Amino acid sequence: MVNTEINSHADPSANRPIWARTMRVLHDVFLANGILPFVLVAAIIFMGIAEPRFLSYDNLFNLGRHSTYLIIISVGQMLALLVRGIDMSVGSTVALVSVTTALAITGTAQAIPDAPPGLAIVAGVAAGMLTGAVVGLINGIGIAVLSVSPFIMTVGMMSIATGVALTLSGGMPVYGMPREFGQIFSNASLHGLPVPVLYCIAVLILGYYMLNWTVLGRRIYSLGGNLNATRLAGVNTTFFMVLTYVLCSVIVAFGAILLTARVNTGEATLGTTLLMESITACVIGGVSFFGGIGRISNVFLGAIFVTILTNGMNLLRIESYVQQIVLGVFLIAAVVVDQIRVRMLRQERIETG
Amino acid sequence: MTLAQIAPTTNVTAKLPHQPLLSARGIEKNYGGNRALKGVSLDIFPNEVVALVGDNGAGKSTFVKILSGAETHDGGSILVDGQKVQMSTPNDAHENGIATLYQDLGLVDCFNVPQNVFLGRELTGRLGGAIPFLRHTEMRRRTADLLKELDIRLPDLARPVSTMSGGQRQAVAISRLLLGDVRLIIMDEPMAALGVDEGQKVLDLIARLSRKHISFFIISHNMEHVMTIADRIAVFKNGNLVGVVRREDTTREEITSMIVHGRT
Repeated sequence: MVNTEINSHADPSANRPIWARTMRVLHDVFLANGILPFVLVAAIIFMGIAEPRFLSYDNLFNLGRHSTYLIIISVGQMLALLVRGIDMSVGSTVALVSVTTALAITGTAQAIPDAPPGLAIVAGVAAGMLTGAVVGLINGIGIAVLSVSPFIMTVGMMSIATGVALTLSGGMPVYGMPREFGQIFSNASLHGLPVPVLYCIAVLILGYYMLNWTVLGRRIYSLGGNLNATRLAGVNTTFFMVLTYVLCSVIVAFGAILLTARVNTGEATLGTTLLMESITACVIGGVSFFGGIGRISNVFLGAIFVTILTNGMNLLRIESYVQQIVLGVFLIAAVVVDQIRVRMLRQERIETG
Repeated sequence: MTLAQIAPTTNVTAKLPHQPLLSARGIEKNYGGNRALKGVSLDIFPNEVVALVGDNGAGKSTFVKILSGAETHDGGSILVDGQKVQMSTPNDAHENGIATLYQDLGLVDCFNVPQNVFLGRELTGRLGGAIPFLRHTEMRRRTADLLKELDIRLPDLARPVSTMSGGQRQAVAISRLLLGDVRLIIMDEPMAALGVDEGQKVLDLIARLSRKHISFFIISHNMEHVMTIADRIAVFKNGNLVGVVRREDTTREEITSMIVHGRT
C-alpha cells in the first residue's frame, strides 16, 4: 500500500498570505490523494450550479442507488489491477451472468411449476455466481498457468462471454422473473435504504476487511508489487493469482445479479459501459496500473465520481456519444496527472530525506 | 524466531569453531562439455565471514548457486553440521538455515518495512476465536525490535521501501532473512550497486551480525571491502579453488596474484 503521509514540515509559512497557505494545503492534499478529491468537489460544485436539480434529495438518492452497481464492479476490477492485471471482460461477464441467472430462474419455474419462487431465485443466484466463478477460473488459469497476458486473456474472454450470452439467450431478453426476485435484489428497502445500497455497503466492508486484514489481501498486494519476491518468500503465487481472478469475477457476478433484478430481465447487452467506467473509477481512485497499490475507499469515491459525471451529463442532456468522449478524456487525464503526482512525491521525498 | 532466540548471549571472541557449519566436498558442475567447477572443497564455520574472489568465469556464481539450492551439482556432496544434505531447491537450503540475498533483494517496493519483513509469514490472530485478522501492530513491534537488535536505523518503518536508499533496502532485506532461522547468508556482490557511504554501512552491518552467530559467504570484486570484512578469503580460478587464506596472513597483492596466476 502506498504510504500517503506527507512529511510535515516545520511550518515556515505561518506568516505567509492566506492564499499561499491554501496552496500549500491543496498541494499536500494532491500529493496524498491525487486528483480524485479535486475532481469530485469540482464536479459537485459545477453540477450544483449548472443544474440545481442535481442537488435535490431525489436526485442524490437516485445517484446513490445508481452508483452501487458501478462500485461493486469496480471493486472486482480493482482486484485484477492490484495483481498487475486487468479484467477487460467485466462488462461481458455481467451480460453472461445476467442471462444464466435469468435462464436458471425461468427454467426452474418451468421445470417445477409448483415450486415456490424462492427456489427459482436460489437456483438463479447460484447459477449466476457459478458462472462468474467459472469465468474467473478460466481467466486465472490462462493468466497464471498458461502465462497469457492479462489483457489478451480477458479480451478473449470478453468475446467468449458475449458470444455465449447471445447464444444462450438467442439474442432476446429473458423475461419472466418472479416479482420476489426484483424485490430481494432491487426494489425493497430497509429503514429507507434501498437494498442495492445495503449490498454495496456489504461488498465494500468485506472487501476492505479482505484487502487490509487478511493474509489473502497481503498476497493480492504482493503479487502485484513483486511477483518474483512473493514466490521466493515461499508463496504459491499461481494459486493466489487464480484465486484473485475468481474473486474478481464472482464480485462482478454479484453486481450482475443486482443489475438483472433492476431491469427485471436477463439481458445479453447489459453492462456494456461498465468496462470503461470501472477502469476509470479505479484509475481516478489511484489504483496503479503497475500493481500492488490502491485503496478500496478511493475506488469507492472514484466510482461515485464517475456516476456523478454520467448522471450530471444526463441531467444536462448531454448526448451519450459526447459522454463517452468526456469519460475517455478523464481516464487519460487521470493517468497523466497521477504520473505527475508520483514524480512530485519522489522529489518531495528526496528533498526531505 | 527472533534473533535473540537464535543467538543467545555467547562469547563472541571465542571464534574457534569445531565443526564447519557448511562443508562442500569435491563439488563438480558441467555445462555440456564445459567444466565450470572441477571438484571444489570448502568449509564455512559458524560466525565467520568468507569472501569468494576470482576472475569472471572462475565459477564463483555457479558455486554460490549450488550452495543456495538454485542449481544442482554433478559431483561431490554438501554437509551441514557434518550431515550430508540434499540441496536441490532454495527451500532445501532454507531448511538448513542457509539464505541467499538476491541482487534484486526480494523486496516488494510498494510495501513498507514490516510488510516486507513478514512477507509470506504474516502473523495472524482470530477475533473472538473465529474471524482471522492480521496482527499489524505485533508485526510492527517485532520488526522494530528486530531492527533494534541488529542496530539498524531506518527513518520511518511505515514508508514504502521504494523511497529508501540502496543501503537501507539492503538492511531491510537482510533483516527479513534474519526473522527466520538463518545461520548463513550468501550474498552475490552485495555492495555493487551502492555508494561508498552506503556500502560502508552494509559492511558494518555484516561485521555486527557475524558477531551474533551469523555466517556470511560473500562474492565480491571489491578488494578493499574484502580486506575489511572477510575472516578468510577463498580464491577461485578456472573452476578450481586455488587457495583459502586468513585475512591477517595475507595482503592484497598476494590475493591479486592468486586470482591472476592461480598461485601465490
